[in-house]
Amino acid sequence: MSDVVSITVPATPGWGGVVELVLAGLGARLDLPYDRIDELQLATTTVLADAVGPDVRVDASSDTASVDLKIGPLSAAADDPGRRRVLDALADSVELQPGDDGATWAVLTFARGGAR
Amino acid sequence: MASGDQRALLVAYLKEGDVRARDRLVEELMPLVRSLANRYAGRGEPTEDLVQVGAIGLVKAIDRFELEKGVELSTYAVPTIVGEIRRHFRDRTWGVHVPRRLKELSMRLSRTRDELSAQLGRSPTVAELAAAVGVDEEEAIDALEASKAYAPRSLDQPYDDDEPGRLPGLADEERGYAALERGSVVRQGLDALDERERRIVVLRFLRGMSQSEIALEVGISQMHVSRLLRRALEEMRGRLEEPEVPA
Repeated sequence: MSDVVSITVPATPGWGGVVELVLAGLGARLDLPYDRIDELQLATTTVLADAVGPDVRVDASSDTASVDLKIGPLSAAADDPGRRRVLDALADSVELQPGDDGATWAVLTFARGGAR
Repeated sequence: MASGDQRALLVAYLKEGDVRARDRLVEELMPLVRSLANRYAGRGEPTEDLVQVGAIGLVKAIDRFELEKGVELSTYAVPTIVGEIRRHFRDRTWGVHVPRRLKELSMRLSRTRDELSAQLGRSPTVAELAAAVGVDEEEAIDALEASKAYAPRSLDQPYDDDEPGRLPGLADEERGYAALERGSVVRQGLDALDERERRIVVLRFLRGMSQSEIALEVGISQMHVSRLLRRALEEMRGRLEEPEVPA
């Protein structure tokens, strides 16, 4: 998959399930192990809790080795050490980057093997 | 109890309406109910709940028993007891309405996920799961996502008979909480969880165990571990979003 699959939803509770469903379909297309899909969803839902509205966007891209998710914009709470620990356990790499909008964006990388 | 005694009690209840005779039959056959309930233990529902549900099945079997059929009550009752336990799993433990077809498919997928994980030595893909249960991938995704509506109950029930209310090895896990940074929102959020959820969170996020390893350690399915993790993270978020009450 060379293109990016993007979904934008309101940054309010209740939309996480829609994003998870899209990620499940994407994970199935990429032939990811189911526990990997599950953890990709858990990590995304965890990050979405820090979204600052009105909308939040998830960009998914993939190569033969990994799946990358870029999620934002996020509040400063995304940098909480405990929350980072949760994300570090789920994803292979977690980076917080400033976006073009000046807000924080999370970039999560998941290897395409089994869950960590 | 000799089968002749059982038959006498059945006659007393079914022909003469002697409710005490039925109570006696229920008492006598409860070991059978417990044995059947134990077969379904470790699937996310407290065994005592399953025993209660099975007992309802036993009472129904006694009420429907036909004396002239000439079969043993225990033989007759087994399918009714098992049916009641299965119905409990199917109907009573889902948080929102999910069509029965999806519930049944979800349960098959949950079992298949555990079986394939053991066979393959890794987590199966959606395509492998779908092929194993004979549905297409979209249906499998529907059912897997629908399973997240399942509401695990009685999470606060102790499951160590020797030390009611405490979980084995929990002291070690509690030391693990200290490893979370003081003031961390996650550490604060752990207070929102019950013991079982905390244990699973710690095994996953502090000890780095995979969902399948946790499933083996705790004695529940991988699907249930996933639900508990999801619920734990949701509860933690919910607690964190509550406004602080001024002292």
